[in-house]
Amino acid sequence: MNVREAHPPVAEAGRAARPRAWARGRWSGERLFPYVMVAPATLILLLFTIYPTLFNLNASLRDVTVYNFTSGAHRFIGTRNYEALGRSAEFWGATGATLLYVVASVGFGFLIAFGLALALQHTPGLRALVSPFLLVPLMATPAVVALAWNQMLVSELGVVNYLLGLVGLPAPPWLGTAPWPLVTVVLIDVWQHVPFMFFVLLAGLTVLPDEPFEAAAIDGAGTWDSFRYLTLPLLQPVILVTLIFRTMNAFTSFDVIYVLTGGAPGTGTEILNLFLYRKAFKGFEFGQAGAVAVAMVLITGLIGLVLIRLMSREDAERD
Amino acid sequence: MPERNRVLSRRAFVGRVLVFGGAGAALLGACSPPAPAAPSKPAETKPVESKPAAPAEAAKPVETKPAAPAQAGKAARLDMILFDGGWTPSLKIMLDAYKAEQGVEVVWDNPPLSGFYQKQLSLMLAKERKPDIISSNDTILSQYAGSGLIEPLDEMLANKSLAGDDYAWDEFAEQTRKAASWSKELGQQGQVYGLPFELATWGYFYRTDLIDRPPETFDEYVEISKKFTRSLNPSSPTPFGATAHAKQLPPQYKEWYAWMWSYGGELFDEKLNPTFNSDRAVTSLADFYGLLLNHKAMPPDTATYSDTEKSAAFQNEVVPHVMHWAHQASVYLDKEKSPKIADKVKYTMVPGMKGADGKLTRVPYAQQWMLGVNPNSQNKPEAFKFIAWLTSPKGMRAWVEAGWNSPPRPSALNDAGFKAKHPSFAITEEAIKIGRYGPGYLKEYAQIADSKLLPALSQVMAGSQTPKQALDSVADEAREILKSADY
Repeated sequence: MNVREAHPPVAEAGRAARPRAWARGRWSGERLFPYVMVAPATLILLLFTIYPTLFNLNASLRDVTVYNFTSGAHRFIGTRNYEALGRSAEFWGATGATLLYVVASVGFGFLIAFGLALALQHTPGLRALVSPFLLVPLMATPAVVALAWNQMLVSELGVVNYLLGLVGLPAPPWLGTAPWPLVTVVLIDVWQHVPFMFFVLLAGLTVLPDEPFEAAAIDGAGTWDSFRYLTLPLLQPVILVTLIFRTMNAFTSFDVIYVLTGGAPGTGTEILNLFLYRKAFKGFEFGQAGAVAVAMVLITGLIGLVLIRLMSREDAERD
Repeated sequence: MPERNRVLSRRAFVGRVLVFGGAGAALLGACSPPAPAAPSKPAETKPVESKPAAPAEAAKPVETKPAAPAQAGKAARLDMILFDGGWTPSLKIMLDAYKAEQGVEVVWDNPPLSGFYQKQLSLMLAKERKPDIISSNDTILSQYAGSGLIEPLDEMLANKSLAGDDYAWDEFAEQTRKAASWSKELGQQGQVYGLPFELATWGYFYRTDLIDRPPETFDEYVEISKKFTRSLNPSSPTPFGATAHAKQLPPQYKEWYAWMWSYGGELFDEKLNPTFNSDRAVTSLADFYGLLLNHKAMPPDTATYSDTEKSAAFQNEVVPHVMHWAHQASVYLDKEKSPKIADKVKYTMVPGMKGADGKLTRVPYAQQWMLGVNPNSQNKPEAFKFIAWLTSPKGMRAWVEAGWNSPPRPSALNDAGFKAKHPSFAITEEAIKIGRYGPGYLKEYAQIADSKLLPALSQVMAGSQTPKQALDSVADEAREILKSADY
């Protein structure tokens, strides 16, 4: 070590002790570091989520159609697209169909998945046997699911009605007259998504602590009491997460219904996604389609908010 | 360290609102759909007294755009988008042949029909340079042309170094050429936007062991359908008498048009007033869908039937007859594809209706698919050269020899050798003379038909609206669309 290294000049020592002004202030390296770290993710988010969202929001305030899209000759029309949507019976019909579809498929699917998870909770052998079969619908492509079910449900040639006939049951018009097509698409959605809920709920059930159940058993609690006062409250966070994911997922349904019914009969199975598709790619009214998309974001956001608040309240109560 | 005072002064608050508001507005502006480079009026179409009646003299194009590069360059690769259809096997052979002959590889993106329209439209709206070759049919061509999404071809068509010496555009039937052209001024001679490669018309297929004589009129068709419906006639060999494409896709209205036009109905009158709801149009729909709603002569889930289910019903002896594309003959007469019916199927022209004078009017729907050029392509001449090669008389013959069964060129349809191989050519040749296309001269037609007419027809099929209610509603909506387009 030379003398200079061992005894730096006073001025240099002062500089080392006192960081530069920029480094001391608002843009110090320490402060910048987190921003640098999140910058790539933020850029990607901006590019693929925020930009399209704002683009869509802007389009919803304009009279954009296929005829003026590339020329840019569209005008700002304020909330007129939203007003038209509010007056549209088709939009409210699609909203009603969507809510019915989501509530029925999530609710019905949850009951089956939860029941199945409870039944298989303490039977690992049976669980190992059933699980691979449950994975099949989960891994199937929605369009393929729709085509396969279509072949099975078609009235005169489908295997489902054939089997029903063998046991003397009447063959419902699965894809015929209302309300059967809506029932059918709900049942297919349930078939495809029960496994997801089943696996999540089963994972939640298997990690529940044993002690409260043992204590309850000593105190004489029955199966129903243990379920009502222990299993349900302890599993509630898992249940809520499952319902949030599944509800949001059900709102994004499109492929199966599009391939299976195309929204028919009439507009009986035309949920909001199909309505949006019709506005955008059959009606070429991109402005109005943008308004539908914004309305969908609001509806799903509202529902998501309610579910998340339920979960937060539950967390607060538990704390 | 003193805690920073977090209460904002009024000035600071206003300042921040302005800054953040301005930033938000700027961001929203930046996310706007493409804006015009200069103030311009959107392409409008003026109303005229009559429908476009003048045949498109496409050999003498007007309104030609400024010159495209006249000579093909040396692109070794072209990209094309066209859905996966009946042409797939034979078209692949042709693409290989073009590569061998010209050294140019045409890479074909062939999505399924269900996702084709939105994929192609998205690419075109995004002004993508690829694909070089795009496709359209008689229904959507005017929409693409009216939106500047497809390149006019007249100049390249007139250039023999690109089109070839023997392209023979005038060989195509007048209707075919008109359906490949569009003008923003109704009734005016249009520019050519697509070169036709497919012409499909409807035919009537029936089981000869069940039906002695094919129906001449739709009244007879209804009676035959009732006769072969088991709920109406317990001794019927088939459970149902008829079926239809009633899923919300274009063939749904195309099938109805054959009824509607034969009954004397029209979609628009000469002044472009929608006449979907005329008495004749309403009656035709009531008779057609009455087969399900009143007589239960169609399978109960017909409302969700596409061509696939309709064909399956005929092939599996669920119904004794079917109206379908004439080129389906190659499927129904094939013992491997249709083992139950292949040896007892015949086909002829679709039924019609007799007028007061006793004259029979049959109006099969005609449809054509065309290949066109992407206006943003960097290889326009090369792209044109390929589609001209493919649709030229020589190219079309080679394509038919490779297995293609719906050529639009009369020289291929009339060829005795081809007719022997493809008996449906006789139907197409006849139907081309009397068949009709949709009103493709109207750029809003696809919008009206696909987004308004289809759901309305489906409402009728579902029994939730009467034909009159549904068609009244379509007529009102069509009027509104045309009004907002300043017709």
